[in-house]
Amino acid sequence: MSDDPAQQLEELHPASFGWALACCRWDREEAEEVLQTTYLKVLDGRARFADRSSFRTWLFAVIHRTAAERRRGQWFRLLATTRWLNGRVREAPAPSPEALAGASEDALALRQALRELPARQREVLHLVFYQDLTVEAAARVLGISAGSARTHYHRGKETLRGTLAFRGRQ
Amino acid sequence: MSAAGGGDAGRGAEGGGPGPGPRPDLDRELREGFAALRRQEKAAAPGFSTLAQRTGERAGGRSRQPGERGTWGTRRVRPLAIAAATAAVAGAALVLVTSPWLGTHAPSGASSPRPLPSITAWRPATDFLLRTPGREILAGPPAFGRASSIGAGLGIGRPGRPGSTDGDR
Repeated sequence: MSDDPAQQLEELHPASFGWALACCRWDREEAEEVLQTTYLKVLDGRARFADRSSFRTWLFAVIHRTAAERRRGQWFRLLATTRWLNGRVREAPAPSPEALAGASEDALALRQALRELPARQREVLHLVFYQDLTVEAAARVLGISAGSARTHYHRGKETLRGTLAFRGRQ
Repeated sequence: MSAAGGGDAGRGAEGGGPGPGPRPDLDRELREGFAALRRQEKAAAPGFSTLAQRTGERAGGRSRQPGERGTWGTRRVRPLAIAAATAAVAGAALVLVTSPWLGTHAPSGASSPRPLPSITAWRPATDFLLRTPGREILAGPPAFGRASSIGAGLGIGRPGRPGSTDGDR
């Protein structure tokens, strides 16, 4: 992989977009915003790669942190509006008809099952199965211990198994 | 990036430590599902150039060389602003707490607080309930020539008074 950050970003772009989608519960618009902010941080020098891990692990950690910051910002904005008084917290939008048309039934069922998982479990499973990272690398991305990541990994798989089996019976 | 998604996932499963061991069927199902999801999302991903262009527009004129340290404006000001705001709040709190206008301190020239009564002088509020009729007789030793308080109101036991038993003698 090249040393040029822009080129590295381009090479990792599809994987980064998938990770941003998972961090934003498949809200495409929000994922694009998060990815833009992340790219800006990297190219602007606000986020600097320090060679402590692979560039991909580091980039995914920046995306994760950026998504978390964005969620916090949204929450504070919600607090300041009357929408909060009505208890209307923004839900992740349903997938568009185009996305539904292009998606296989298995992928849709999996995505729906992933949506219902707790965030940590969903993120660990995504990093391991979707991004081909080890559990230890996933732990570094999420900033948690490897033991904690393993726990989330196993619990997430068990929950997914139950959810997918239940959907399969329906 | 490989589309199989299995190699490292398998390693992750094997590195799972305690708990149930890896289940090949479940892992295979998940790998296939995630691979389908990845294919779908990869096809739907916005182009890097589009996103990078938008990023450039957002950055405006403040783009910097990669790896260059941030300027004072982005890197230094925020912590300083937070520190200054914290100091201002702490200072304001200190002024308010020590302020004589808030009444947290006794005003100058005010009378000193009343001393508390001693424990021997204290009487309970329900003390009157213990004052039974005839209690005065038992309050002290009896003595000759002194009218008892019971008969005092009727003139009993006093010489020269109507109803006195001494005059009959």
